[in-house]
Amino acid sequence: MAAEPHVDPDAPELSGLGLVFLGRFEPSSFQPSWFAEQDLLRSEEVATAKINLFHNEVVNFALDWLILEAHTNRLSIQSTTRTAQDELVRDLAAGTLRLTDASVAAFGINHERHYAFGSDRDWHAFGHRLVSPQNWDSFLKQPGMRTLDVQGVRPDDADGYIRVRVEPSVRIKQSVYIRVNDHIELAPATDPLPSPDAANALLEQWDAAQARAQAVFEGLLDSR
Amino acid sequence: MTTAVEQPAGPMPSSSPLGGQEAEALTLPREIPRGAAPSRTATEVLQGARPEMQSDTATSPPDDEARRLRVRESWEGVVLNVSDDTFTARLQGLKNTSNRLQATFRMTAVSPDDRRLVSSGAVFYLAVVLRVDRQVGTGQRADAELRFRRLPTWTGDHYAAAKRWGESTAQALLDAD
Repeated sequence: MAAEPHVDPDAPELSGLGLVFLGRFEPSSFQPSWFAEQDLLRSEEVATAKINLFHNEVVNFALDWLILEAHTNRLSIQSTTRTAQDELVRDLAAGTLRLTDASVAAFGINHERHYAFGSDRDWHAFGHRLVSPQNWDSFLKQPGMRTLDVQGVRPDDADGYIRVRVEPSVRIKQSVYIRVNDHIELAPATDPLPSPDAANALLEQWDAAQARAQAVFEGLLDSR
Repeated sequence: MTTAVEQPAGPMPSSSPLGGQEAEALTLPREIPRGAAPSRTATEVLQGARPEMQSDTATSPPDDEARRLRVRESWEGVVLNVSDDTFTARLQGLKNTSNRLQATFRMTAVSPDDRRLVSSGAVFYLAVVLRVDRQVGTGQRADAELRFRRLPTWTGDHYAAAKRWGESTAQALLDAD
């Protein structure tokens, strides 16, 4: 079988970051004006924030470069296709956690990328390398990988896991979507830690999580 | 409105299970007597399914392909000194940390909202980007984005305030007794 051409892991078609915190939150406190008052966001961009939902139990608003959604048990801050640096999303999350009266039991650093292959042949070859159709075609007709989730233990002393999802991209033709969920459990769900502790943990884990995600992208795309 | 890159969750065929640990019964009795819970699947019984905290991203806003931004290079900078209309900074590449240089910036390059953040030691991010503005019909154009870091520190003042609050609350409770 011909070798797959090399896809540059540093040249995704799309790249994104999602930070998800699990714990206890008060969604109504996450209104855009609060972020301006706390100097976490520029006043000029808060003034043009698009508030999609504002309710005691869920808040969702968007700026040009981020989307924030808060539930009573979950806070997520995601980049958009117009986010220049993931560090801006990280800083906003850490700043928010330092200033709110919330508690966090676990959080996830999610790195997501879409990589394009040059042809259907190369795209299928990548999927076949991960999930060989020969292991399935004796009992399934034309088997194809729909979603692949693989989980590994954490390489550090923290509780949690590293979970990788690979599936065909539904945004870009002849592409794959890869997400690395770097999940850290800080405390039992019934006894979460004060949110500033989660902010510190996020900042401490940041560089290592970036490196782990990069290793996953490079490892998966290495066709040798 | 530009959006995240999250993979939209595709529609699940009605006959497929949701997943190993979360599989629901594929069919339910037409009438469930009051007080009776649907029976668990064999998977749930054998695996002793327990709630798992999952921190992966779940939402999937649509992608605004016409207004994507492609980052060519990004830097983290630290302000060295400031004059009336310029500031000098040391820069380090975020992707390639061996890329280091020193540069002088005009204050006009800083957003009015960020100008009061410009001080010696302040951290900022600089990105050289390609904007894909297909709606405008200009194709790609290079631009630079500069934003100052906004990260409050948890200082000794915060601890002191929290300690005073705790002490006063405890005293109030004792007095109430």
